[in-house]
Amino acid sequence: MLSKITCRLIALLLLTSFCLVGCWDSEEITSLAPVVAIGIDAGSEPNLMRISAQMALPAAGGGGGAGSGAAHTRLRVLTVEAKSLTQAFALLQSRTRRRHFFLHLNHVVFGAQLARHGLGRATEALQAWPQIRGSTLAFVSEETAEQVLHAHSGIGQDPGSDISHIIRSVSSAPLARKMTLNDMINALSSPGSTTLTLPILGLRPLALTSGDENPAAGVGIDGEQYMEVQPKGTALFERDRWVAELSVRETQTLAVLVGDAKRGMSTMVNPENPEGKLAPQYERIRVSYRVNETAPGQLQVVTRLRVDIRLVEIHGGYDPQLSDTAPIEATVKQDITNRVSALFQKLQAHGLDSVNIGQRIKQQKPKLWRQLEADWLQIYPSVEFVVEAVPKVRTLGLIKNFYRLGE
Amino acid sequence: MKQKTLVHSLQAALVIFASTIGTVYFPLAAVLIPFVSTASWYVVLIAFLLTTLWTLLSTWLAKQAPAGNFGVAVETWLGPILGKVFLLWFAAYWFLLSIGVLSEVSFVFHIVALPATPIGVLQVAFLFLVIYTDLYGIETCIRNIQALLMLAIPLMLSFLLTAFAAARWTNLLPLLDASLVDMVKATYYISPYPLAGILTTLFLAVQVQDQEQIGIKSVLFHWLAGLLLALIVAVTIAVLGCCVTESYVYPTIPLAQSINIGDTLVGVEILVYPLWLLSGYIKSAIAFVIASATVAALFPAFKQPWRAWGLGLIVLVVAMLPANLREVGRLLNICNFHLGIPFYLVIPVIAIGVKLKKGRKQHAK
Repeated sequence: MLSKITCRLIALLLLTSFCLVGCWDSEEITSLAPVVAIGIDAGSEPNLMRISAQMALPAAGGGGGAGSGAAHTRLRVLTVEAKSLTQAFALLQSRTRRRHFFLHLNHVVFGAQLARHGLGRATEALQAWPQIRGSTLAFVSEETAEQVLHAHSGIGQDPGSDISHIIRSVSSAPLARKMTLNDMINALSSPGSTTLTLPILGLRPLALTSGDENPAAGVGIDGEQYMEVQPKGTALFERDRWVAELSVRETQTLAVLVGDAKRGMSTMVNPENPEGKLAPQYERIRVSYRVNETAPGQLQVVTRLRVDIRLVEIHGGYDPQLSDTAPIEATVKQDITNRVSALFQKLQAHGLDSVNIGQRIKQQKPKLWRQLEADWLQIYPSVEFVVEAVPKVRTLGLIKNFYRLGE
Repeated sequence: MKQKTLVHSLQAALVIFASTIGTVYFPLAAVLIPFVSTASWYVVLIAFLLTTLWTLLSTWLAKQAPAGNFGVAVETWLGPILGKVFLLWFAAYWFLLSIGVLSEVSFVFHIVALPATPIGVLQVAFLFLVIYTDLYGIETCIRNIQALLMLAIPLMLSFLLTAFAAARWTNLLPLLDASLVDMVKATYYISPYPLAGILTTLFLAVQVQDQEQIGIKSVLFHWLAGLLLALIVAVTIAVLGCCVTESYVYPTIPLAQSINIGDTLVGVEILVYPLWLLSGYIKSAIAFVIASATVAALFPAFKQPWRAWGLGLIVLVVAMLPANLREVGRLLNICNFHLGIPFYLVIPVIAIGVKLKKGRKQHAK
């Protein structure tokens, strides 16, 4: 008969053993192939998907020091065509000695052709993979996803990782609206929803100047031109099909309106000197919506933006002591109103509710939403958008007055 | 049957809290959303407030029986024949719950954390722990749960705190959009969850030393469990959104996987996997120990260690029968809805019967 202490020890060991990997399935990190990005393009036949996986292979015994960098990252992109993601991953696995590991997956890129035909099937395929996190970022490529995965980076070591860093810091640099796989599922699950937007990734020739990369000129050993990735605006979707796009500037407005960005910037005419310019920074942007039913079936959405302004750059002189801040606030108000109104007009022209006004009506007036929901896409283009911008200059820095170049 | 087990009211209340929470916080949000969408979190609160009456009835019943043994208490309330039927039903509920939870925990842990480990290995290991707990009886089980809660509660709070940072609270709007009918339906579907706590109260309240304290403490911990579950549901919806939450069986796991704070705090599931283990062990151990103690009251000749090993063998065989999580869900539904829900009718009926009997006795005097 075992003693009490022995029994307790056995029980404790059994309990703690669940917290550890089993001996039979333990794996060294160097035996794994972490997939850092997945690209999904339309296949050569209608029933096929072209799947690319970008793997960052950890080098056994690798380290930093001289010569480390892009050459030591050991990035590899493999591409296969398959009917499903499962089949594609099996085919990819057959071409890799190491086991694929998805917990380091950083982003998924959808090709332009696939996005224009519909992303529904590809999104469905991604949802149930246990290692693919819902917080994985999603993008569309200006051309093919495979090209984006092959592109090099001027900043980060992983192609695409620098772009995802820019996207993640969207609140301070709203170059794109951050979208995750979970956001995609939420946007596509609602019947009739046209709220899906995805950042567009474009390519341009890599031109390195710092000399800390090898090869420094942005070309490969055989003179192949390396490409780098950059944000090119936002793709707007009707259900799951890419039908229109926003420029980077319009994307900033969209990011603010959906609450993803709290900061922004603009450049406008100096109200004191029309030859000069004013470049205020917008801080603490707070957006609120008020929905009014002005007549049966006629909706008015009042978008109110309260903005704190930081003045850091004025060309053509300005003396806040003499002129007060009211002229600046009036100019900023006009600028914000124009930008937001223009965006709503563009979205209404395409019949796309990318700002998710429908959801805001549902949140504020659920009873009204129940009446509108079925015909929302027909009602949406006739919604009257009223923009109320309330800018307030909060910071002038330590400047007493902005000097004007003496003539 | 003659053996008396006496525990402190606070210990009993902690076990009531643990058996109510159990593994419930993993699927709860997904169960509610199809009915009441964004109203899910306060429907949990309503359900727990409504079921407070049954908790109070359970503690009142305990005071009407001699302290120390559940079997004796049931016979005092119902007499020898009805008492035996009730005990058999009570044992069947807990026994099936123990099987269901053990099977569920093993399946989920196999899917999310140890895909290379056979489910049978996990089930045997879990069962060994549960049997080992039962061999030492209810008092050891209670102390064990007390100790494990000291680990589980900080883990759960840390997890919730990280989820708070990733929450988008506008996902909880509109607040008052659910119809009364939908709220009633949703409350019915989640009513088995507070029931586990109510039946634990019924079982433990007769074994409490300071019975005057158990009423207030069990109600407080019942509410605390409801509050925590409501908070978890609210945070899950706030982070994942209704559509994503609804599309998973256990949305707490994708919730943990989705948390990404500033690209720094990721992989929060590292907190959830131990939580799943601890919760699974706590719930299945309580269920098994209560089932075993009730069987002991029914068949006094069936003594330890044979009782624990015998019941354990049955648990193992039945737990291995479901081929997938869907079948485990069906097994748990049979336990919760066919065996569990009728207790909501029976407990007040017993209380009325006991009250009438008491009244007649006083009248006769």
